[in-house]
Amino acid sequence: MAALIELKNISKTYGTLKALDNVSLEIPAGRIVGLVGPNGAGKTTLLRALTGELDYSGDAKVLGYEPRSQRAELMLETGVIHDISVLPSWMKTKELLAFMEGIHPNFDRAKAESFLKTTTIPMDKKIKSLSKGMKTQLHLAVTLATDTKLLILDEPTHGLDILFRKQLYSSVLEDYFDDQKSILISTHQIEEVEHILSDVIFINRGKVLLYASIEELGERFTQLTIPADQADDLRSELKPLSEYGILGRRVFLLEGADHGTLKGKGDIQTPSVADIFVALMGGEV
Amino acid sequence: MKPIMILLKREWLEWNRVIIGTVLVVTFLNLLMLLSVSRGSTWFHETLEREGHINMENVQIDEENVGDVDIRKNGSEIEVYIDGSTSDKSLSDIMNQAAKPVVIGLRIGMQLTFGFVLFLSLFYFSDAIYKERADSSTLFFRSLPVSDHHILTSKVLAGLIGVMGLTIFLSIEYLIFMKVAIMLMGEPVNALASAVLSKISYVSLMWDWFAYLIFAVIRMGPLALFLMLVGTYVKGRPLLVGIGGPILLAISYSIIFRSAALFRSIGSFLWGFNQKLIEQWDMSTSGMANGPIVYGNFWGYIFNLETLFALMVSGLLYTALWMTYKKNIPVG
Repeated sequence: MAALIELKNISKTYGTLKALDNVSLEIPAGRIVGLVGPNGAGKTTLLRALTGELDYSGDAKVLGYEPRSQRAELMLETGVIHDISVLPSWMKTKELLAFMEGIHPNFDRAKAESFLKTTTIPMDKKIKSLSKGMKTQLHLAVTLATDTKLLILDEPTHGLDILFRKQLYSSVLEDYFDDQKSILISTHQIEEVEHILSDVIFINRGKVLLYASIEELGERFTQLTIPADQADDLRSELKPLSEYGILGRRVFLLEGADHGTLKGKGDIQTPSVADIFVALMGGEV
Repeated sequence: MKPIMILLKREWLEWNRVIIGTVLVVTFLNLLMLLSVSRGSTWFHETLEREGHINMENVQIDEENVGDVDIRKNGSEIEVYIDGSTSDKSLSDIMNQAAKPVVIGLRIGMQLTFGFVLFLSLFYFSDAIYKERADSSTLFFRSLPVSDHHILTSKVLAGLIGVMGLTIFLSIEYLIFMKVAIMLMGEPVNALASAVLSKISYVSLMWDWFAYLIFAVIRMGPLALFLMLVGTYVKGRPLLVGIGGPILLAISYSIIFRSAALFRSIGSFLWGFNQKLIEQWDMSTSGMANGPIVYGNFWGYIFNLETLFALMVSGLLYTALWMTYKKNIPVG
């Protein structure tokens, strides 16, 4: 299957700051990919490069389109929700729906209205009078009611309460995702999304540190919990990526370890994506 | 074409309050004018009834002569005496004299209308892109299946169509109010002014005005695009930067080179809008002698080098605008 997103040596510099540093990736279709990194890692810059909102150096293809020169064509098949409220504040909800109906051939107004009926968003109020949660819900309603192949979510739950964060991701899964569609989610709160991801990309200081499927992570990384008094001996033998103490025991995070050789040394578990992320970031975050 | 139409509608949605507000303010000012005309007319007729005559000193009689005018009521007739003797001029002479203030009033009204709309348009053009950057909605509009050219062209067109549409609407309103005001003035003004106004073909006048507005919007293209360009990168106050920048440049130029050339250029650019109207709608020489000389030839200005130059500068500024807009420079 052709890659949904193909990036070759994508770089973006702001003054002396390298926001993206030779990023190369190939993301296939039908995946839910988490773009994970600390604040300032380059996540938003990468997503804005993918949607043609930014100039960059290197070669990029998203859904077969070059984002800068073919942004209009790309946006016909791509939905985007940003980390900040970007809906025009002077528009009323019903005006936004009418505008979307006119401008986007793949927009289904009835679907958006049906989604909005489940919320308390008024149709006759200006967007600027809505709460942050309502604005995100409205943007989500409009985006999910648009038939696209790719959905890009840039920290969509930023500033929202826990109830709405859960609701947002379940809406995305129930109302949008199927095996013909792909989702790229940027976040620095990995615990929130790791259960829905099929792949993760770890990014820091503009560089991709890791790109792997969740299954691959489970095979590649191992968490070994051992008695504290054995830690010194096993540390030199196993060379863990990271370690921490819990209830008098030591937890090692190992990369590429053979489970057979670990048997009998301690409790073997699959680490969470968050643990792997923290281990790979090391002291850099 | 469809995206442009939808985006034009979106501009209307955003700016309709300003446009409707402008129409309401101008209508209010016109009503104030009518009120004062009505009160003046009442005073005129009451004074005439009570005292039998009204004497006005040092009235501009014609191009060269200033004299006293005495208006007297003689039964149901109103007679006008100039410098003590009754007017021996023929009706066409009187109409010729009356035509000048009427047509100049008409021209000044149209000039003021256009000047006012031009002033308002500065706010639109400087805010057109800046506002979207300020509230981040530029990210939303650029996440839609429309190109940067669609977005920019719709904004330029909306502004220029808005200037033309609003000016024509307010001009028609002004003409209507002017006619009502003349009716309210009563005799003898009503008869004289109506005689002049009845000779004007309003369809031809509007067509003439339309041609002028096409010329004017082409000429203001560079100014509009310059203000939009400023709005794509400033951190705040785009109008102040857009207008203050060139003025500061002109001041610096005049201090360094001891020359007011830049000031003169800015002045002649702005005065150029007015100059064409004065040139074409000048009543000073022939008045009504050969029919109403209120029509001009503005089409001639559209197809000339000056307009071509304005279009070329607009093209360059549009390219710069597009290049800057693509960079998506945040306000914060």
